[in-house]
Amino acid sequence: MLIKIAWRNVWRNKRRSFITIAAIFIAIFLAILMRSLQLGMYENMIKNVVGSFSGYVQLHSKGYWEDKNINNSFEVSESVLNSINKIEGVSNIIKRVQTGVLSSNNKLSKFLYVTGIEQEAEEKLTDWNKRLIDGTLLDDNGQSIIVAKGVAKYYDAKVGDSLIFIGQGYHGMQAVGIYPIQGVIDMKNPNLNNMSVFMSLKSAQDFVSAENRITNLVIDKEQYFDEVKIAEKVKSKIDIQSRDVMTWKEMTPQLDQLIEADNAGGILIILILYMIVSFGIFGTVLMMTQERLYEFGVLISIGMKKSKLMITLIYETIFLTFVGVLVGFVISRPIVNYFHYNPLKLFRAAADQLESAGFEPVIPFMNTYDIPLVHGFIIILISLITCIYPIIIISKLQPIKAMKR
Amino acid sequence: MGTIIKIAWRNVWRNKLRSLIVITSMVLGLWSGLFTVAMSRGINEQRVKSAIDTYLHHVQIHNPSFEYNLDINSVVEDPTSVLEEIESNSLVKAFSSRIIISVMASTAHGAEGVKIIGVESEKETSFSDISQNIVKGNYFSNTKSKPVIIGQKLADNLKLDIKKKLSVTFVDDNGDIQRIKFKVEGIFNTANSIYDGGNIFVKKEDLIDFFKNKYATHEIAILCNNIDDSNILKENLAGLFPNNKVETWKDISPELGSVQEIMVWFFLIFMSIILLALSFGIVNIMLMAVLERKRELGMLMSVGLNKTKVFLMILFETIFISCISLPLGILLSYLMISYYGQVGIDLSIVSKGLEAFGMKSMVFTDLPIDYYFRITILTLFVTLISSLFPARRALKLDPAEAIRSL
Repeated sequence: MLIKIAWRNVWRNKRRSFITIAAIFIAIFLAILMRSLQLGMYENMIKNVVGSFSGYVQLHSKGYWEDKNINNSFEVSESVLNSINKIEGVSNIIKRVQTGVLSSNNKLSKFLYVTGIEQEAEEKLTDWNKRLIDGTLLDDNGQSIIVAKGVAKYYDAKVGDSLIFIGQGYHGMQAVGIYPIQGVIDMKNPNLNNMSVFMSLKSAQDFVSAENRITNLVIDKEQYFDEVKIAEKVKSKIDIQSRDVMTWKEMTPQLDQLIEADNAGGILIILILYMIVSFGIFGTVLMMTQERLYEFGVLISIGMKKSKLMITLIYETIFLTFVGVLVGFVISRPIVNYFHYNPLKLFRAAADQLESAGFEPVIPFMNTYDIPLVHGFIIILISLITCIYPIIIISKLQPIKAMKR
Repeated sequence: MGTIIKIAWRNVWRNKLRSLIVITSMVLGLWSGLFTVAMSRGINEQRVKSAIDTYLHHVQIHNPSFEYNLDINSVVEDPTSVLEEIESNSLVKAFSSRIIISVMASTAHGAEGVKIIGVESEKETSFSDISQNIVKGNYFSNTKSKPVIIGQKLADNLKLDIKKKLSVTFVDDNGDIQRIKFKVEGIFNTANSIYDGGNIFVKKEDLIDFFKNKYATHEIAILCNNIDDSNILKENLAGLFPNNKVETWKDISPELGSVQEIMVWFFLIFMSIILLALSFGIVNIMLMAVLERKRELGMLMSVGLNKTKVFLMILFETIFISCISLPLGILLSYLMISYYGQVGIDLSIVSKGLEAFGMKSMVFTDLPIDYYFRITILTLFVTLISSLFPARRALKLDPAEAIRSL
């Protein structure tokens, strides 16, 4: 009964309802767009830095992360690989052996990280074909290397040139070799571009004299899966005495903290926005209440209980907010989706700044349903809080006075 | 006209609660917006300043091909006459010539690729802020064998501490591999952890022995008396020494130089969103006010107040409200921004993340005067537009009907 009255009240004065809905709509609309943009930006940063190369979760020999030394490599058995692969949310497992070397060519020299990879497995993580600028991809038995574009630029090297590597092998063996370049790749990240060289897993293991051993096991996850849960499950499948499982937050704490810092700023801006829109919503509710004092007076004097009137009013607010939130959601959705698939491209200075920090200068919006749900909930909460004002007014209402004009 | 303005003014104060809500929301909106912008500007200013003090300086001279591969043979052409010229130039405050080699630094715990910078230690003390950022040990006070100053990040990565040995491997200008052992004398920690991980400082004389060319110089860094003179000095030197590449800090790090430009955009977009939300609030409340006063407006119209005057009355009422809030909001922002511009805000809780981006954790808010002008104009413009809607709504009232409404 009360719900019905409330519903009819909403539509009785369409203009007034429209104004209230508009106030709520603009709040939810701006909040959704701002958050989608911001969270999308972080998602992309994480994807740039970890998703495409280091992976969300890695398994190492204990102590490898603090001391990235080939002596801290390990052998991994098929059965362990299988059991990790079966964990829910794990999409790929990739074996790598990585070591630091001094490279040289003619009179130039440079410190590089040589990474032995299995080409096929890596392609599940990133589309190498798209990133390849020149030459061909690795094959499992070749003795050639792919260099990142910064390295190629440093040596002014082209496909067909060779690099000499000098490094430290397993258990004190000398690691020396000369490798022809078969491809140049763009890692989309300045740090990686300036430091990376890739060769097949097998030839890298030969180079450091560590047959069948790897230094990193990269575990990739499916989108929107929680990497912490995956890491927990991986831990239960392995011997944690001799192995470390790390998530990207532990491997690159600076990125995590950078995001946290920036996110703090973003939340501040959202709070400012909410503060302003709550004033807007409150103002609208206030005026609506005062406009309807006469009506309330009549209702109470013909015998409606104050409590029932209050409940009707709360229902009305809920209806109005729901409509506003729904409209905001429906209108923002195509916009968010559009920018998710066609990311905003930054230009000039802003782009340079992001690129120098190691990120692609694009911002795809995040299109999960969490954002509209969370913010819709917050807005509903805000408008319910503003309901307190008319409730107080009704509780103090004296019908005679209210009906006087 | 005077009467209409008077009526509008009184209307503002008739419903005090409503007016106060609008005024508070505008004041808070303006204040929080301006303060946030001032804070981000402060953060950026800090970042630019520490980058200039630590490694950019005002003007740098290199061999044109040095930039990409840090080739040991890409030395500054004719360094003696370049230095003589700089010495005698009145714009220059200080300068330093350096040897820079890309090397592999290694200990028993691992190896890292770093840039080794050979400096004239006495000159650098007053020149770059590395000497002020020493957290452990000293800055080249020890005259004994081959000291090296390393960053905190590198010390962590390679498990180094003062008095430990660090060996450095590189290819010299003759193409031979050289290995030198240095002893860690000091550890520095700047605002930029990437820089700390990739740069080490040694005495120039310890490196020059490995060069055939005893005048080899890879970089000449200059501080001007006034940073704004950087461009003039650059033009000067570039004209005199066409074989070398002369760059100002803005050329070397364009993304830092153009931060100001981005900030203006950030400011405009951010304030527009706030003002959009604000103006929606104002329009809503004023529309409600018109609907609430239907009867009264109908009465006024039927006793002969013409439409222009009704329109103006509502218009002025809206404008008055924002004209009260605007100076209040601006004044509040100005006071707080000046206060925190002196005292500073401590952001150390999140500072580790900021350091990766080259920032310090103390932030001093900063907002130039012309931002206040911009915001004033923007706000006036927005209020004017938003005052039109309720005023137009009032015009549409039919007096005969309005007077009968509840």
